[in-house]
Amino acid sequence: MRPSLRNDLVIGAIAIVVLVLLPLVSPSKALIDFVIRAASLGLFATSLNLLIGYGGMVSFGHGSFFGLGAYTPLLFYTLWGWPPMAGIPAGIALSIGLSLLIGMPTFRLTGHYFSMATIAVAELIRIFTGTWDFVGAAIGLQGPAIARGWWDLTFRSELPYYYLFLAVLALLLAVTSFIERRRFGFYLRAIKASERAARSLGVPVRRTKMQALALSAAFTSVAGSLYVIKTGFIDPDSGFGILISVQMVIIAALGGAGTLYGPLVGAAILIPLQTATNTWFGGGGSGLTYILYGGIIVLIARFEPGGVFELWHHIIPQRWRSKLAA
Amino acid sequence: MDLASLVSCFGSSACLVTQVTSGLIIGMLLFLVAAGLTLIFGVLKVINFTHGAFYMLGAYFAFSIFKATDSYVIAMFGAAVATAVVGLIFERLFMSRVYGRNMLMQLLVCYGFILIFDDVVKIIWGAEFRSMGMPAIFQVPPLFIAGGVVPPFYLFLVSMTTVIGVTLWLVIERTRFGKIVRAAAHNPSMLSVLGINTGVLYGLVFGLGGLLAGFAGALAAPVRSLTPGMGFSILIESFIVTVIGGMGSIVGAFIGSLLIGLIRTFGTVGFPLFTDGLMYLFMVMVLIARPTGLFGKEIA
Amino acid sequence: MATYRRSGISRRAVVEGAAATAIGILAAPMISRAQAKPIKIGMPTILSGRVAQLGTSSRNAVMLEVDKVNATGGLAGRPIEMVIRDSKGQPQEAARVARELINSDGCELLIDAEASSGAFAVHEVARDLKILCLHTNSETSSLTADPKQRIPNAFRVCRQGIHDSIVGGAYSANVANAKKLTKWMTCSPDYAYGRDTTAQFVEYLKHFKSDVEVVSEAWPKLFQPDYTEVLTKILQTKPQALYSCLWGGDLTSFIEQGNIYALFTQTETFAVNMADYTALTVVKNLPKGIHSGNRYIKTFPKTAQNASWADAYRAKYNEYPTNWVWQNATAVNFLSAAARKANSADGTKLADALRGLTIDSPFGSNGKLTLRADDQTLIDYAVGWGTTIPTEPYVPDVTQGDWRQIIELETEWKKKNNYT
Repeated sequence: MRPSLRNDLVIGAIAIVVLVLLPLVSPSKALIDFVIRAASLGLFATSLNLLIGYGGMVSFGHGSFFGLGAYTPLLFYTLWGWPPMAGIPAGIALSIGLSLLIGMPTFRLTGHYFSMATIAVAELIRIFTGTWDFVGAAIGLQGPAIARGWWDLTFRSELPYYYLFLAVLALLLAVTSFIERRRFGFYLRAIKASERAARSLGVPVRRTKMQALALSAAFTSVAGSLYVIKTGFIDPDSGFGILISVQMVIIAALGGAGTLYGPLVGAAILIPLQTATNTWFGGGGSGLTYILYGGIIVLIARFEPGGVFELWHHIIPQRWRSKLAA
Repeated sequence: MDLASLVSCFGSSACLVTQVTSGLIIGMLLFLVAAGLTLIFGVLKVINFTHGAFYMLGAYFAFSIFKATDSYVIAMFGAAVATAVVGLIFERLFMSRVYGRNMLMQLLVCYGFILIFDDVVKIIWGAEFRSMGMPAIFQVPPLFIAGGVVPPFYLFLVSMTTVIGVTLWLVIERTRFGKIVRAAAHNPSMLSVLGINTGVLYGLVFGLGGLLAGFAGALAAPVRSLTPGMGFSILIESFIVTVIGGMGSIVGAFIGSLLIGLIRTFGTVGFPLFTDGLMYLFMVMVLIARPTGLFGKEIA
Repeated sequence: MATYRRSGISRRAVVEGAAATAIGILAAPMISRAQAKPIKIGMPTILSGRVAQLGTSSRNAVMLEVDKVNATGGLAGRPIEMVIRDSKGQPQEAARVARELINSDGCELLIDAEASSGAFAVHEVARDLKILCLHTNSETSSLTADPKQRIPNAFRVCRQGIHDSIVGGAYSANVANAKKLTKWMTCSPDYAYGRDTTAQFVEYLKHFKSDVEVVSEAWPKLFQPDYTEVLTKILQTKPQALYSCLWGGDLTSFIEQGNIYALFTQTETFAVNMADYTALTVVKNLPKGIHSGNRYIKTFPKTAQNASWADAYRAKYNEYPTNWVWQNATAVNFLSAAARKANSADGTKLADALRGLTIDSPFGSNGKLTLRADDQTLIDYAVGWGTTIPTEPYVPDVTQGDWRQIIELETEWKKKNNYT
C-alpha cells in the first residue's frame, strides 16, 4: 500500500488545526490530559515504528534509549543544577552512541535473536543503573519540584506540555513522512520484505539499518526526555523496564506498524481502552477489565492484521478516489 | 562482587554439592518450560508468548486439584493434562489463524491472551497471592550429601523433570508421532501431500508444549506463591534459554537451562548484585560467537 | 433564696427552656443547611496490580470509620463523602488523580493512601493547591522529617521507617545479646525500600550492639519467584542470624522455600514484615520463633479495644486487618477529633487543630496517638517485635518499643541528616 502524500498531509493539517484549537474550545481537563498522554506514547511508538514498521526489525529494548533520554535531563539537574532541558542533547548523543555500539554486532542476528539481544541490552543497562549510586541507584532521580524559571519546564498547568508534546510529535511525523518517500524509506521497506533480495539489488543494507536505528534511537531519547520533564521522576524500572518497551511495540503494532499515523492511532485507542475497561468494571481492577481489553486486542489482530489504521485507510481513500475520479 | 567466596566455594565439596544441585533444580524446571517453547517454534515457526501463562495455569490447576483431592500425584498429572487441553484449544481457535503472518501479529494475539488469562485467573482464584503448601510426604528434613544440603522435594523435582525430559526425547526420536513432528519441522508442505492432517498435528504439538509447561507449573506450585502474572519472569528466562540453546532445539534448551541454572547459583555467590546481568551477558556472548544459538534450528 | 422553688416547673426552668427553644429555632436553619452540604474527601490509592490490597484494605478501613463519624453528625455537622480513585501505583497517575479530585470532583481535602513514591507526588499537589492532605501509607521518613518537604497542610498519619528501624535494632540487639548472635546476614528485595530499610536496621543494630558483623548480603529481585540460589547462599554462609524485609508474596515464597531447607531451625530469623495477617495466614507451614515487627496484629496492644476493633473489621469485610487498615482508620479518627476541636470542617482550621493533637486510640502504645506539632507526623503508636507460632494468634506476645528512646535517637538521626 503506497503512502499517499496528499492523504497524509490532509489528515495532518486537519489534526493540527483541531488539536491547536481544542484547548480554547473545550476546557475539559480530561481531554487535554488524554491528548498529552496519547502524544507521549505516540512519540515513543512512532520512533519505534521507524525501526519496526518500516525496517522490520522488532526491538523490544528501545527502553535503553528512552531511559537514557530520561536520565540525562535529571542528571544534569541533580549534579549541576542545570535546567533539565539542557540534558536533552546529551541524551540524544548517548542514545545515538549506544545505537552505533549495539548496531554493529546485533544486526548480524536475525528475527527473534535480534529481539532478544535488544532486551538483553536494555536489561543490562537497567540492572547496572540500579547499582550505580552516581545516577541514584535503585531510588532514581527527581526533578525540580518548583520551577525556577520557564526554562525548567516545570509547569503547573497542563497546557504548555500539551503544545510542547504536540510540536515535537509533529516534527517526528514530518521526519517520518519525509523518510517514507525518499530512497532511504524504500531501502528500509526492501530490507523488511527480504534482506537478501535487497542486498542483491544493491541496497546498502548495513548502513541503512544503522541509520534507521540511530534515527529511531534519537527520537526515542527525546520521547524519554519529554516524559521525564513532565513527570519529574525516573528510576531504573520506569526508564529501562521491559514492560514499557513491550507496550510500545504493542501500540505500534495495534495501530498499524509501517504506516505514518498507525502508532498514534494505537496510542489513542489503547489509553481510553485501558481506562474505560477499568472504569466500567470498577476501580478495583476486578472483573472483566483485562479480558475485554485483551479480547479487543485479539479481535483487532485477527481481523485487521495491518492494525487499526488499515481499517481507516480502507474506508477513506476509497471515497476520495471516487470523488477525484468524478 | 565477591570473588573470594566464589573461589572458596569451588574448593569446598559441601558448597559445590549444594550449588550444583540448586543449579539443577532451577535448570530442570526451566527446561520443561523452555522445551515446550522451543518445540512449538521448531514445528510451528511461531513464538508462543503465552507460554508463561500456561505455566501459571499449570500451577493454579495443581493448587485447586490438590485442595480437592489431597493427592499431589493427581494434582500434578491433572494440571499437566488440563493445561495441555488449554494449549490445544488456544492453538486451534486462535493461533492457527496467525501462522505465516509477521511476528507482530502473533505477538499481539499472545499479548491479548496473556491479559485474558491473567484476568481469568484473578476472577477464579482472586487477586491475592495463594500458597499451595508442601504435600505432607515431603515435609521432612533435608538430606546431607557430601556436606551439601538437598531437600527431598527438590530431589523429586529433579527426578521427575528428568523422567519427563527422557520421555519427551523418546517420543520425538523413537515414535511415529515424533517422526511426523520432526518432519513437520523440516518440511511442512510435504506432510499434507502425504495425507497427514497438519491441523490436528499442530494442535497436538501446542498441546504437548502446554503439557510440559503445565507440569512445570505443578512442580513449582508447592514452593511458590501463586499470583496472576507469575508467568512473566519464567517466560523471559525461557526466551533467554531458547536463544542460548538455539530456537527449535530441545537438546539446546536442555543445555541452555542447565547453564542458566548454574550461572544463577554460582553467580549469587560471586556477584550478588549482578546475578541477572550475568545471565544476559552470557546470552550476548553466545550470540556473538554463534548468532543462532548453540544448537541452531534443528529439532532435537 | 429558696423562695423561688414551688411545686411544678420553676421559673428558671421556663426561662431556660424558652431560651433553649429560641436558640434551637434560630440555629436550626444553619444546621440543616450544613447537613445539606456534605464534605467530599478525595483518596488516591492503589486498587489494581500486585499491591492492590493496599488500596482495598485502606478503603475498607476508611469506610468503616467514616460510617461511624457520619452516624454522629459527620465533620462539624457535614457528612463525609469519600471519592476514592485508583492510581495503579504510578506516581504521575497519583498526581493526576489527586489534581482531578480537587479540581474536577470538588474534594476539599485529601486522604492520600498512596505508597511512598506516589505520596511524594501527591504531596507536591497538596503544596501547590494548598489543600489539607493526610498521608496514610507512606513510611519514608524524609516526607515529614526533611524541612524542605514540610508544608503546613500535610500530615503523616502512619508509621515511619526510622521509628521501625530504631525499635527493630533495639529489640534485635537484646535477642542477639541473649543468644550471642554476632554473625549476621541480610536478604532483602533489591529496590529503594529494601535497600534503605535494611541499611537503617543494620545501623541501629550496630548502635545497640557494636560487635555485630554482617558477613554477607543477598539481594533478590522484587517479586522474584525462586529463592533457591539465595537460600543456598545463606546455608553456605551459616550466619547465626538473618534479617529480611521481604514482604507479602515474596516473604511467603521465601518462608515456604526456606522451610524445605530447614533454614529456620538453623538460623535465628528477623523478618520485619512477618507479623502481617496477609503473610501469616497464607503461609502453609509457618515456622515457630521467627522474630517480627508488628504491621498490624490483633494481640498488640493487648487491649480489649484493639481486639474488638479487629473483630469488627473482620466481621464486616471477611478479612484480617492489615497495616494499612489501622493507619487509614486513624486518619479518619484524627479528622473527626480535629473537626470537633475546631468546630469547623475548613481545611486550614483543621490543620491548625491537628497540629499537636492527641486522641484516644486502640492503636496507641498507651491508649493514645499524637500528631507531633513540629514535623506533623504520628508518634506514640504501637510498635514492637515478637516471635511467631504456627497457629492463631500467630504472634501472642509483642514487646513494645520505648518511645522515649525512639524519639531521642530520632532527634540524633535528624541532626545527622541536617533535618533540624
